Amino acid sequence: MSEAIAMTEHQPTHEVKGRMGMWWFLASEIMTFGGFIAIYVLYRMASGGAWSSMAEHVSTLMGTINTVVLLTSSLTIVKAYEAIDKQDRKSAQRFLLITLILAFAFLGVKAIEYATEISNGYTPLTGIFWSFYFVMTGLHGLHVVGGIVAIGALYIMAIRGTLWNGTQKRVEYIGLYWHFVDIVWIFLFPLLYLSY
Amino acid sequence: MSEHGNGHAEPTSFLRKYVFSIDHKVIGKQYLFLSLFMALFGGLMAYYMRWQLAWPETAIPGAGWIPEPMAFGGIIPPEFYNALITLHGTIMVFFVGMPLLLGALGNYLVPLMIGADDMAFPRLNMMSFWTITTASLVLMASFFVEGGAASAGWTGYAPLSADPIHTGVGWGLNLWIMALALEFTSFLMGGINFLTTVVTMRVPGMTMFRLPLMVWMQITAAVLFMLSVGPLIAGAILLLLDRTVGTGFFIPERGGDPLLWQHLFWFFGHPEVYVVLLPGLGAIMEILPVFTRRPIFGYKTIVYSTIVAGALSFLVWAHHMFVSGIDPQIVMPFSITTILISVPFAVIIFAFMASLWGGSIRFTTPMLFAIGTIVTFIIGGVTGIFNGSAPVDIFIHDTYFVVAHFHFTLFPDVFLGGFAALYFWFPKMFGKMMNETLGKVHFWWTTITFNMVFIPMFLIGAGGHMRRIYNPLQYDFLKPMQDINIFITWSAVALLVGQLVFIFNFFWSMYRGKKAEDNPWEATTLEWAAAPTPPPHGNFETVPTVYHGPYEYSCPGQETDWQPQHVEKGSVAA
Amino acid sequence: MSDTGHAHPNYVAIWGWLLLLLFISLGAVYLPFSQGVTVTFIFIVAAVKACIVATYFMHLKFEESLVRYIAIIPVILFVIMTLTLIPDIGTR
Repeated sequence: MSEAIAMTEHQPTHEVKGRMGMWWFLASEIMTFGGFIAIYVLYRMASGGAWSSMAEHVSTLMGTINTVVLLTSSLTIVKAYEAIDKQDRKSAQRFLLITLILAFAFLGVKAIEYATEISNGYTPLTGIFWSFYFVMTGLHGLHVVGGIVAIGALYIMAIRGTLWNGTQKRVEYIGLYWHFVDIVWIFLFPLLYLSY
Repeated sequence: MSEHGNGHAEPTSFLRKYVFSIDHKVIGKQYLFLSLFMALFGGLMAYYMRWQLAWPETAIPGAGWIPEPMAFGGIIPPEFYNALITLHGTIMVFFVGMPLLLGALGNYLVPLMIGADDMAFPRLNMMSFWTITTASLVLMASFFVEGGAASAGWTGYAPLSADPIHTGVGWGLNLWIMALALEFTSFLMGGINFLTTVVTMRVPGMTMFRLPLMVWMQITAAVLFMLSVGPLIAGAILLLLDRTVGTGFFIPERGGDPLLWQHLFWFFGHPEVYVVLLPGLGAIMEILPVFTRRPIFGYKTIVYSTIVAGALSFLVWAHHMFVSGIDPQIVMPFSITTILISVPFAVIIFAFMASLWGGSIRFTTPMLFAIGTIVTFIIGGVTGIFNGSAPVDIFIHDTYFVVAHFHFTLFPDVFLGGFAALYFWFPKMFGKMMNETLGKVHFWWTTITFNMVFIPMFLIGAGGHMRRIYNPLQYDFLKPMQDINIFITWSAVALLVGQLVFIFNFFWSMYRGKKAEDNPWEATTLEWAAAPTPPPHGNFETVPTVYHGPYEYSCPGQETDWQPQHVEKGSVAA
Repeated sequence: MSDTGHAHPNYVAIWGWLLLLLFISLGAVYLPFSQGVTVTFIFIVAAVKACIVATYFMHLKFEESLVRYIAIIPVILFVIMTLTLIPDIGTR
């Protein structure tokens, strides 16, 4: 806490405020996703192994591909942040674009997965495992969409040359959000794809 | 104030200045009017419920306007009665308590008290107000959809709430869930804003232990809300899916567990009680030193007690569920934590009493309301011990004893504490003094009638009178207590009518009141001592520097008996 | 060189570690251990991955202590909540 107290010695910049606000937001997000994960784990414990037969039908391959995609997008956005930190505008712009492409790739794989599952007769109403599967991945997917909007806005600003002069700090806190989306997936992957 | 902070220019158009304003002071007032408006609805619902309980199934005076099928010529059917109990609770906690104490007081006071020119994210602030306004509209609209408004209680226990076949309520309950989700979003945005503001925007010299206690209470409340609401948001999404898509997360036949909803609700619900409670106590903490002319007793003790109480509030939730069929192993631990949590609150109350000791008390209206809050809140707190002890709770659970208990905690806090705060900060907000004589009449009338309403409820509760029942005359063992029910209803009518004094005083003073000086109460905190009345856009003419703690009253060797935070000791007050 | 006041670690190497951990947890599923052991193991690996992302990508390592508390306290809270509910919901 001592640093926080010392911060009053100088007037805060937008960067300090933005990062602090983003962390408080993430704290509430941790509790929301934590709630879902807690409910899922408790129900699965209570079911006594009856879900395993349902959980076998998810595609571990697709899940693995998406994990790699999301981990890599986390790398590219942190590289964009590093590039901005080093005043390297060109590579920052390039890394933002790669992140955007990877985010769309994630959604594409997810869409193929949903389509396959639903055409095989696994819908949210098939059983409680599938209800959880669609709700949790769906909510995570919505967060990915939100990330695409934010990163897309940053990329457009980069093309137009307005991402400098203070606003480039947004790459840092949009990045924090994007890493959080990645962390949620890091837990959803073993919860939904590996525990059968 | 372009030299510090956000540097947004003062708006000139009416729409930007009063409707879609990003000025924290305007937003605070918007929250104030929203909460007072919703309080009228909450009070009206209480009146209809009380009349039904005293004279069951008779035409209620003033209910003739309610269209069918909600009421039939002023007679309300059981379905509408259930909707009334649900919406009364929801409105009073989420749409009156929170907007008044966090939205209005927090928004108005936090930046002023720490010396900032506005909130950290002014646009987010505007958005949070319009989100809760939308939520209020959604909630009120739920009365008019087919099947009526939500009627599963303000706690919305599953499976009653999870499947429309149980209550016959269709979209009413879906809209209720959506209104709550919007309300949560609004206060999450608000909480992020408060916390970021306090962490990053304090003026030079304003260390954490020089913050006025109101600010401490606001940020603790924001942290509690932010950390507790997440699991309930998850639960609410699942509940909505159960109702609309047909999943079975809370429906036993489809593999769900209804008890989990109760856990999720109360994991949020108990910290939520303190989210509402702490800012109300914060107002008392600001008022006591000003009108006793001495520092508050035990500033750091109060801060640490608050933090301990906040942390403990995450570990007491199952005391709401002792008769819900939870595992007996977890009953005892939750009983113990519940009784433990009374310790930090007792410390705070004793600090209040010690603050009064030896002070030169000025019995103004805000001070009367502050003392009234402490006295009535003690009754609420002490009866909480009864509810928290599992063996006693099994007897009094779901009776009027519990109703009386939580009204004795929330009413003093939201209304008595809220009135104290309004009478105290009204001069700063509107630049006019409120009428003292009317204020004192309002105080005595409200406090006496409040006790006449809720002390008898302890009696009938101990006598076994169940809460949430439509017609007490259906039960033979309740018939002898019907006279008490009638007495409660007349007292409640008196309590509600007495509020007209406040409404008149509020609006009359706004236009005809005596003009307020910059610092009419001779207070030390920045909002009174350093900002003009009413504060202009940007709040302060120059950025103040803080030299000492917030409650330096009656310092020896000083010219005046109050020492503003931004004036160094030894120098002459400006 | 940089105006954030902290050095940038080798992010590509960290990404490599994350991928390695991912394939370790994938491989663990095919090892002949009981379900309980396997599940415990892959969740420990997931927690390690999350910690790496938070520490380096979200640069918690270089943050002030307040930010670390903001990140850690919710995690502790939801673990407490889950553990408390096991006797009531998990082993009903």
